[in-house]
Amino acid sequence: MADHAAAHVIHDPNIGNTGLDNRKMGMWAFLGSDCMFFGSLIGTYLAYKGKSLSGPGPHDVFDIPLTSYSAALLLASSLTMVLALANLQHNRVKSAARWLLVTALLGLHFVLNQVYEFTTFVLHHDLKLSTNLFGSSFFVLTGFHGAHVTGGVIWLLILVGLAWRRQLDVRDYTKVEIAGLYWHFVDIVWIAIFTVIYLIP
Amino acid sequence: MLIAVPTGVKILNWIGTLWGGSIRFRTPLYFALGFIAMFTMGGLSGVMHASPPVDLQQTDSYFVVAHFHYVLFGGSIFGLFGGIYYWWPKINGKLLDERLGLWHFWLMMIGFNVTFFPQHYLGLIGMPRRIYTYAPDLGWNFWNLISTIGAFLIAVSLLFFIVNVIRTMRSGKIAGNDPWDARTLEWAIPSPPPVYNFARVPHVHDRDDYWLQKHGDGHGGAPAPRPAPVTAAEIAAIHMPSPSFWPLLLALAMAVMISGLMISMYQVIVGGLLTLYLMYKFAMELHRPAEGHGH
Repeated sequence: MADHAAAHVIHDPNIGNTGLDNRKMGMWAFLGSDCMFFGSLIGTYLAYKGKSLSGPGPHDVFDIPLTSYSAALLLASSLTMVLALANLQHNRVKSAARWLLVTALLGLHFVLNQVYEFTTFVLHHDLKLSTNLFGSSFFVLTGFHGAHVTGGVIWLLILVGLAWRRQLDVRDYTKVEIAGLYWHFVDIVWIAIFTVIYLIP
Repeated sequence: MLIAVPTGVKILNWIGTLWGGSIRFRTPLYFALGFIAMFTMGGLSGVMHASPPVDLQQTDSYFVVAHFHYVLFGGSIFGLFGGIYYWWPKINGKLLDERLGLWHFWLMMIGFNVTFFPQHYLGLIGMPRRIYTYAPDLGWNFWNLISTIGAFLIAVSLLFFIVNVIRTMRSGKIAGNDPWDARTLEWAIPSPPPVYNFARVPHVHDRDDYWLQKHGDGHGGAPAPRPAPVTAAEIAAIHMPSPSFWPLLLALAMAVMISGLMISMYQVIVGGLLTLYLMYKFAMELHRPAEGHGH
């Protein structure tokens, strides 16, 4: 059996002997490890919840309307990401590029909101990374999530640039699909963070 | 004490592996035997700590330094060198020199014991660990001098190894596929192995499959059938990834970024930007390969 399979020339170098696309497989493996990463950071936050010896605490500083708005931006960006992929799969490159750009801008808006939020915490509430257990566990968790979104925005903008330079078309939909996997994952993590950290008192 | 029981089982395993085998005394075996003997001694001095009064006296003394060097140096360095001498011909295609290898082994064995055995005694007469100097009238001078001489012997033995490697790379004996008449499958392929390792996933019928192909089962059974030779078409069908410098450069940029955490935030930023740029280059390398490139 193995002899038989090896005798065939494999045409697509991205398909490994698992039959799966290596790039997609790699992204799923990475997302699996990223689940552990965020799982441990959320776990740390919960383990130290309410254990800070001094203020400020979560509900002295949180601006729930602003953060809800951020969450809505990120949720909407998942929709635009799906639209981008669907357009590319039908080789509508211009629309795909436009939706990718909208996705990136929504992500960028989210990041800027977070920059504003962090700045407010530091300047008006005197909450820093080293202030108390809440400050440490909160900034590390949400900061790493923000870094993930930033990385995703850069990735999306690169894809937009490729499309504008006519180097992205239906042949590359797997690349956009993988970027989408990452983007949806970051969105889902935010839903978990928003619910567990911001909404539950 | 708890760790000594499974370790004792392991030592019996290793001796059991040797038992009844047709042993050929070549350099890798010397190192393997050295490993078993030295590791056993380290184990024995470890068992002593199971006795609380002994433990109390020996904790944080040079005795434990001697103990864990027998475990770690005896248990890993000897094993590592055994492995290096054994697999060097497979990795590089040339056999390391036996005579220099034995010089290396014996000097290292003697140097190791001269270095670390006196430290048991130094610990028992009160020398604490984690000190780099001490007053001259404590009675520790002589055995520390001996220990230092031993350390130089270890260094000299490593010189023999380095000379051995250089001489082998220049004019070593060509190893061929299977210089040790070994039993495991890596010896069935050329030395050094081709980049794809096995042109065809081997069919394995037995624990000692390669040995059975060569010698039968040793009880009059016929040798197992050898696999059909690999055809040129099979080799042509193997797809290998294109070699690329970007992953290496990317790893170096990440090292710049992460070591910056200990040095300077500017280094983190520079390394981070470099990392992003190289990730981009790496990802783009095969984005639109020229026509006719690759498969």
